[in-house]
Amino acid sequence: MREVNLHISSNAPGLLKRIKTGHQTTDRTAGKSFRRVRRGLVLFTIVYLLLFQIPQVSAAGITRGPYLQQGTSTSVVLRWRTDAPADSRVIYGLNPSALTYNIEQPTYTTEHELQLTGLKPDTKYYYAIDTYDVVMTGGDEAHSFVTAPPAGTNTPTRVWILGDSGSAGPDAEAVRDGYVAYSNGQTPDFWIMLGDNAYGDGLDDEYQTAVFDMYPGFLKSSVLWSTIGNHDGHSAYSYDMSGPYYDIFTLPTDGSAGGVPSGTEAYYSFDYGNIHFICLDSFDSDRGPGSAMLAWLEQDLLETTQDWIIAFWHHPPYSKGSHDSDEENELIEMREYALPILEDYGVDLVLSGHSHSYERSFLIDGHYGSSDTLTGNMIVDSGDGDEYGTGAYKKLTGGTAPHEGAVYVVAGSSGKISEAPLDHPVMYRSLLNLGSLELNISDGFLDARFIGTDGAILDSFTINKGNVPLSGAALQG
Amino acid sequence: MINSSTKTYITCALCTVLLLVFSVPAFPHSGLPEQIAEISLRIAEDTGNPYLYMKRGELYRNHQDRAKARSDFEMAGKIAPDLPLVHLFLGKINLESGNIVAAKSALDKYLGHITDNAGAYDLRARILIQMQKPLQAANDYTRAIELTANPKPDLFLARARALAAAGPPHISEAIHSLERGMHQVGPLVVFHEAALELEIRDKRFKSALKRIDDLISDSARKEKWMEKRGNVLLLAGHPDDAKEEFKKALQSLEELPSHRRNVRAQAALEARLRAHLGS
Repeated sequence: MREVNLHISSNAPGLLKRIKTGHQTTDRTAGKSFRRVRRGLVLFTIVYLLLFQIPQVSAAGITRGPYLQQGTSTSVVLRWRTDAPADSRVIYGLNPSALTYNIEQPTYTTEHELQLTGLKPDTKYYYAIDTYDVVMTGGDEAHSFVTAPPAGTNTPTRVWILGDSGSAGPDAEAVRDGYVAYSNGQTPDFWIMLGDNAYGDGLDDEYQTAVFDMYPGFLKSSVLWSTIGNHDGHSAYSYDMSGPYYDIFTLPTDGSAGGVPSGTEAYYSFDYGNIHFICLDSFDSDRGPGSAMLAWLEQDLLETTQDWIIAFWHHPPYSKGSHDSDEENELIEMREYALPILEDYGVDLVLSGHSHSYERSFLIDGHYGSSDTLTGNMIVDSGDGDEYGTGAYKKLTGGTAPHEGAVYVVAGSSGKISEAPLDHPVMYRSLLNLGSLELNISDGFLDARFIGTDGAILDSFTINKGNVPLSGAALQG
Repeated sequence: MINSSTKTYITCALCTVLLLVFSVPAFPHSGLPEQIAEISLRIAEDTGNPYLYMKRGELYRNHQDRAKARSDFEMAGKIAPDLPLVHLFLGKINLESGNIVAAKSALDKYLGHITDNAGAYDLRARILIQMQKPLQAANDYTRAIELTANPKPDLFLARARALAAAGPPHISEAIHSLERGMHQVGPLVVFHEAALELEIRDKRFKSALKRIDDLISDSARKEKWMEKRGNVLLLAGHPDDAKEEFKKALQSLEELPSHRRNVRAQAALEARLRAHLGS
């Protein structure tokens, strides 16, 4: 008996087929067997290709997103994932029943990313994901977005802030639902995640449950910005922008969203109307003097002409929550090295997470040492910041001016809470409550509200710039 | 941004992930002291696990307790002397503690086994800088850059600084390192500033002026570049042109609203300009 071993095409799962043939006495017999085998192979290959290799366009379904990234006044990035390779095509327009524009990328992929450009500022667009002229999803109110207003314009702006929301469980759901209840389902202009977006290690499947399955409505109608947290950093590296965090987010490296080019997604800035947002990397980028990040920060602050400066990163410069800002490297270094630069250029608000609690400071300036070095003259306004209490925190200058004070907020309880002393002396209010933060900025006022899981306001404060007198409408809230 | 880099430059980071996933639960709930306490309990149950010691050592390091961190890394080394990762952690803690020779030795041991870890080359380069061996440091920075698909700006800056520290014969190469950074990462201001400093140091006034002119045309705020232009013109032996440049810079500053002039950097700039102009 002669045995013939055949190794099937390497596209197939490895198969070794052993064919036993009879003793071959003539070439004709051998030829017949060979033709039979060849026919079988051809049939197998055709069936295999049909079943497994040809892109199943009609069967490609969306498994992630769509979600909006890097929104500007004239552009937005739209991303989604499919369960099978497909081309990428988006149709969009000013009317859900008239999506007259389109953009496409014919390359087959499962990770889709298209940038819509040439948009009008402060304009609502509807969109649909479309492949082979079959609308896969969209073309309705849920699939719409509003572009940012032109940079420098004073436009009422609403921002939703989540910190350490990545627990992917009932606590994160409760925070989300609490905000939905509070806002009556209104979509924020954009939203920000303060890091630790997906526990335990920021892996792709963890992001699926903690972010994409948790906030699908927000993702498809409002641009999401983010900073990297230490848990995201378990699997992602600012060193070379690799890993799920950097794969998932599209963040500006070239200054195209406003601000100075940073060359990295780890830290960046963007404008929204007359507000300049700065994202820093407190975890994985060099934080010391002479570092590229701090050099970029100073140049970025020098060049911005916006009236408001809001900075955010993961590790809080002040906290006595589940992390102590007197004892941990990242927190200390951000306080010692980044804050002097930010305050010198007139930062108004700094947002962080990491500690699983809510902590909100007085209006303060110049406190760069440990908590026991705080002195009275570092507290610019020791009131509650509440328009209906001791009054809004007032900053005299309408634009940015050095050292008029800033409020520091730790908003790291959007997914869980952890017991802690919560007694940092710069804090006006410290709460061990699940919740999220909403900012409303307009006409020289920044109103911040910490919203609990039942939609109630657990804390609020206002920063008033330029000594604008309160109008009747403002007083009524 | 979608990044499908096939190069996993930081083997130790992967090991850290393995360490966290397989040996240690993630800690979404606790602060550092609680995490340390939890790991200590696990160590008590599994005293022969080097990864637990390394994890606790990292927590101690983040908690600024370097002595305990080193002790844990050394214990991990005793348990698993052939585990390269231990040497990486020891290198880091020794560098932070100022034990430069021990840090170098540890990194040499690590890189003797693992040759594709960009982070380790970066770390050893910093050690070599402290040992006043800038050329060797520059070589390590070069290797780190080569191993990284999307290198961060700091690597190019550090390499340029190392070459510059090696002396005048290496200034050209230092500037080239920054130009390479501009090509690979983007024309960042931080690269231009560093290149400008080197050009001025090396008396390459023509190229310095050209660079400043490009920066002036690209920047919204031009005053600091105008001052630099004036300084270069002074060094190049053109005091009258320099004075004109300082006047233009001061005039531009004076047109700013007062709250922008009061920024510390701007106030300092104004003071320098006035000093140049004798006013």
